[in-house]
Amino acid sequence: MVVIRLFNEAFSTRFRPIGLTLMLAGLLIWLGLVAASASLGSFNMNLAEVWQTVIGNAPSAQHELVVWEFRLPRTLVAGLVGALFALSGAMLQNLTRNSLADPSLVGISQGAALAVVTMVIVFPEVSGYWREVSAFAGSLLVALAIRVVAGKGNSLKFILMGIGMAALVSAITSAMLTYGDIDRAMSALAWLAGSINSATWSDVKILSVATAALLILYLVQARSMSPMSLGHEASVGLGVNINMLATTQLVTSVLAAALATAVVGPLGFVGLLAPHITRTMVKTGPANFLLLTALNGALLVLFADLVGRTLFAPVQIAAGLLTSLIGAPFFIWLMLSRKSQL
Amino acid sequence: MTSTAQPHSASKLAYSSLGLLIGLAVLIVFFVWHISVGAKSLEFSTVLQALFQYDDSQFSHMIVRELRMPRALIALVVGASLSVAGALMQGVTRNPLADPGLLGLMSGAALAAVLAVTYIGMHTMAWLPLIAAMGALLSALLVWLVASAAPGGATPLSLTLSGAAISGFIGAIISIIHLLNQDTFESLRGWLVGSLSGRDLQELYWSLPWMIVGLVGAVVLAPSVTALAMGDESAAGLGINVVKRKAQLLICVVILTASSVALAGPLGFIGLVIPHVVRMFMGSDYRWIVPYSAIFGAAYLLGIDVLARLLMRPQEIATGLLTAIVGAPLLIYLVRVRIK
Amino acid sequence: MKSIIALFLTLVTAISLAQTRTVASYQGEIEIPANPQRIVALLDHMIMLPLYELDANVVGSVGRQWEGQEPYIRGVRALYQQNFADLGVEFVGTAFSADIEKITALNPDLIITYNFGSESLEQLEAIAPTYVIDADKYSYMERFELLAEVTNTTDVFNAKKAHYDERVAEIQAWLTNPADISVAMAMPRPDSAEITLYRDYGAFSQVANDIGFSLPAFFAEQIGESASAKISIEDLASIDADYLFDTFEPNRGDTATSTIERYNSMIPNWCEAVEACREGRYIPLRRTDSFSMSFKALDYVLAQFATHIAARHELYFNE
Repeated sequence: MVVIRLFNEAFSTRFRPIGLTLMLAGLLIWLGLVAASASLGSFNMNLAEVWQTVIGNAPSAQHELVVWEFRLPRTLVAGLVGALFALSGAMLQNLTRNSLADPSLVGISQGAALAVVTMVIVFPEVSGYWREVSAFAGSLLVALAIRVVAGKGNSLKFILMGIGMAALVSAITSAMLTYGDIDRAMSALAWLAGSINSATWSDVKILSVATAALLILYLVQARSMSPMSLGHEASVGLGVNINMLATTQLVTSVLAAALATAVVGPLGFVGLLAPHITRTMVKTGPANFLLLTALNGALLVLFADLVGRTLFAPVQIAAGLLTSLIGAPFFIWLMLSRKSQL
Repeated sequence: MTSTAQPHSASKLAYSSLGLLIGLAVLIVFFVWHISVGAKSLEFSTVLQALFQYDDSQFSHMIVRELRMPRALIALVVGASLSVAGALMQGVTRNPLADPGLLGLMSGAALAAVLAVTYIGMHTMAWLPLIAAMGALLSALLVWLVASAAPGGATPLSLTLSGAAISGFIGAIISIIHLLNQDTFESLRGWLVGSLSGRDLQELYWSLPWMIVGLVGAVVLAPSVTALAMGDESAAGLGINVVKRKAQLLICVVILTASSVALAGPLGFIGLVIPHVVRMFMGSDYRWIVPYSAIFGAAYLLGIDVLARLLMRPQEIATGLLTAIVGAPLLIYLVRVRIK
Repeated sequence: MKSIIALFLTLVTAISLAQTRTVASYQGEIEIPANPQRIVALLDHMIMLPLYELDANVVGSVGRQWEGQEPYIRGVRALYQQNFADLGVEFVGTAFSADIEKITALNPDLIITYNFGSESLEQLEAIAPTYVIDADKYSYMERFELLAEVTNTTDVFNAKKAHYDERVAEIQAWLTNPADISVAMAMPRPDSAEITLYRDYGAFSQVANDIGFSLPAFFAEQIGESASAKISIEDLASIDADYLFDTFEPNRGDTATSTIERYNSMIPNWCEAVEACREGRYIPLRRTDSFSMSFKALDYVLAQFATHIAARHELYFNE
């Protein structure tokens, strides 16, 4: 048993050896995937050339461009959005005390999608930067709307409300796609698929700051997490200020998913899958759980992006489509293997 | 046939029948209203002439007979079919949120249609209802199987979640097909929102026999839905073979949904809205809920389609967009009120 | 002597390769090679096809791909029966989601795209100077000319354009007053029971405008300032063109009578309701041939106008 205490006991958690081992293994797999992602692609280069490029002896300007401007930011962004979606999902599941909650099931992705499609079709002259800003605003608005209409409802209400709102918002999005100019509609469709192809270093910066902040915040609050998933009464009994905590966690988890969606488009099911993979792997304390979950999310999206851009190259399959294709069957398996009633 | 509802008092029967007659009258008024409005303004007398003294050399008569009549008829049968399908689903699954769209049937039908159009290069409508039906059946079975296999069985939540997951999966496949193939997206993007325009009577003729089978089946099976809605045990206690009856009802639902999707694309929320409104007035006797849903569902879709053509005249709004805009708030209301 | 000439040629090439010039692109002023040698085209029928005709040095292009089939270049396949392998051009992914690394691997010196493309401009510009055509600002012929200008093929363009202008003048000479004749493109949309009316239908509208045909009043009123507008099939009888054109697409299994069937599926006897059709002045054309950015397409439209309008108008319809 390893006990870590930081910030004058504000952060104190126990890591079981198995949890630590898994984290180490996960990090190794991540490094492996990063190496694979940095060396695989339509631009042919071997591992040695990749290494030379990384340490600053690029064989050519193109090697440098491909590794430093395309593959590395893309690889890092994939990992970071994966981690953000995963943390967001873990928090939403904890808050709603429902293990089937996911950012894409509660209207966050749909809100971003509507905002972006509107931008692409109605205001085509607006730049990509504003597209990201509007995606962010769109998902926040929809999440807020769901929160308002769900009122003080329980988790079931929150999820069902999300599905209803998502259906409404998606209908409007489809209508936009139907009436818009076909070329612009195709362009919007490409974004809706959830692709990481336009990742840049500034995305890496924003996302890593956000991921770090979120991780620290959640780790600090981790101690209160396990009481909360026991249920409202239990946690009040244990002296946790539920409302304050719930509000921060809800807001931050929505912010995280909104930010990730704004950068890469909707990636279905990642927020749902990652926490569950952790749960099936190991039973562990909240802090370890969160770290492992973030890692799982990162691995998942990185893998989806790598497969999507190399399998049928030069035809590109967006990462979001792959995460949906992997995620939905997994979701069903999860429903089936639950021990308790839904 | 096992009848499970309490015998009706004579006055209840009279009221219910009167309501049905009023519904029919509303339906007829909406039908006439529907064929009287459109992009081109026509005198009401011209509309009547087109109906009763048809002259195919007059373009305005053709507008009424060849363009508006088929559309009104399709709105009528699709509205009726989707509402009845929704009513049956809500009864059998005891899920107030059951709707062919929410439970994955529509996306299944849509995927089947997209595949047929893209890969088989199907351009005739003749087999589209059947193909869409198979798609709907497969996804319905999948949703149902998943939900019933989940701990706690087919609860509203498990059905809705499994529907959402399977719809998400199917949606990703449809997206991939569209991204690889702009032509399919271009030709199907109108249909995929749900639209009543551009259908001709030929397509209705292909779907109508299926829908009649489904609707008649629903009416015949309605009494046992009342029993099933009270719980499987009580239904079994009344001598109903629960599994067999549920399978029959599922087939009705699938036929009704799939032929509607084949005709009008995935029109959301009709199957959710109408049965609830009907139940508010009619209680829980499905012998009345089914015919009421059929009639008011037909009138509702006719009315929505009139709005779709009037609101932004001469431009049209996709009918599927309006059904979602009207239906989604109702879903939200239902969740607030009906889910504990 | 030979070696001196060779040296001289190498020098000239080297100088011309090294030279750059500034052009105004959608995103602002950009530096491009004076004589681009390795161009990548990010739209097939509106960039790759015209560049092929201009004999520009293209090394890569997006294409379309149906399941299990060879990728093809829309427009180039229809008009020239040529594909990637025939042209020695690399397939760099499907339209609207090109493979950025494949483009890099081609080492291009100029990338050309439209302002509605979905690839990241920032990344494209990191690979090579990227010329973005503003589809909302320039007309068909202006875009064609710009393509020639940035690819240093203006000579080819001017030669083809001169030939085209001659043929336009020829048809003008055959008609008493082209402005008295209204010509329009409209297409049935049986899926939504609508008809699309066009003001700007690629090559077709370019030729019609150059000859000086007029746009029918109903079209002008419905379309306003846009490129096209949809009307309900109920307004079919308002279509007032003297010569009404339509298109069919053999690539999608159409035959020459497909458009007629499309109208029929919406409303029988439709032809009686439209004056142009009633009088034998409804003419379906091949779609890619009458729309694409291509001198071959322009020639095709010219030939149709010469046959269907210039030759017949004076004889049958000019009272």
